[in-house]
Amino acid sequence: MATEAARLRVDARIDVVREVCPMTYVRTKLALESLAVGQRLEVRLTGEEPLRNVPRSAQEEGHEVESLTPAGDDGTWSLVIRKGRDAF
Amino acid sequence: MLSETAIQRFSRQVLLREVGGKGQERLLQQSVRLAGDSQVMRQAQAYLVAGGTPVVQVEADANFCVWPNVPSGAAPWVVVAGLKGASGILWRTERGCRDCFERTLRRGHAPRWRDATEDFQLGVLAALTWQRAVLGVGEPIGARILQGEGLDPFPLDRCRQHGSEAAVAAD
Repeated sequence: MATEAARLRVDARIDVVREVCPMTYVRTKLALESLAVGQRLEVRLTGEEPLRNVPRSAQEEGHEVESLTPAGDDGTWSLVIRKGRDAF
Repeated sequence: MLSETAIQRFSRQVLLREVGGKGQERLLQQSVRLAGDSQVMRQAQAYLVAGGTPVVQVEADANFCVWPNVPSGAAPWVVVAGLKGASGILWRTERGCRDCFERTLRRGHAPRWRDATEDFQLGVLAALTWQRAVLGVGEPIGARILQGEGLDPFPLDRCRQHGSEAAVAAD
């Protein structure tokens, strides 16, 4: 329920399924920069490395990982990040 | 907004906490007006261009140069200079006091390289100093000298308005 509610309030979505690290987090970081603090970004991703690196990098930069849930049967996942701070 | 080409080219720099997409845009937009064709300037130019900074060679009105050249025009300013016998870097951003900068620079002299690698080191460090100034990292004005393996702080010659060490930025 909480995941669904968060999904409904997503402010932007990106798909990095076809990217390889570190471009997965580069795209995520650039998308977060375009949001205001408190807004939510949904990232669609797949693969062991991105699933490990993207949430960790987001947290290290001061953002909140709200959820990481399977997005379907194809091995993709939905990561919802709430922007915690501006870099500048 | 960064082009796709810029995102691909500077992806690893964008990942740095101090840079990001917005910082990379600033680096791409803020040009260096570089005076001089010395080894130190060539090294600096290579690093600046690699990081995305446009570099223009000029005869006058430089903002990036080696002593005895004096920078002018809009800041940031970066000068490689000798300071009390050591080689170093002096910089200011728009928020850094111009008078303090110029007083310190007047006490400078030609850089004296201790060995063949020092001009290379200073060229690279001068480029990094420019990047930090553009990104707004660190103090708005300062000086560092190369001693041993790293850069050590060098005291600025303060103007009357900023006579105390606590007064760093211009009003």
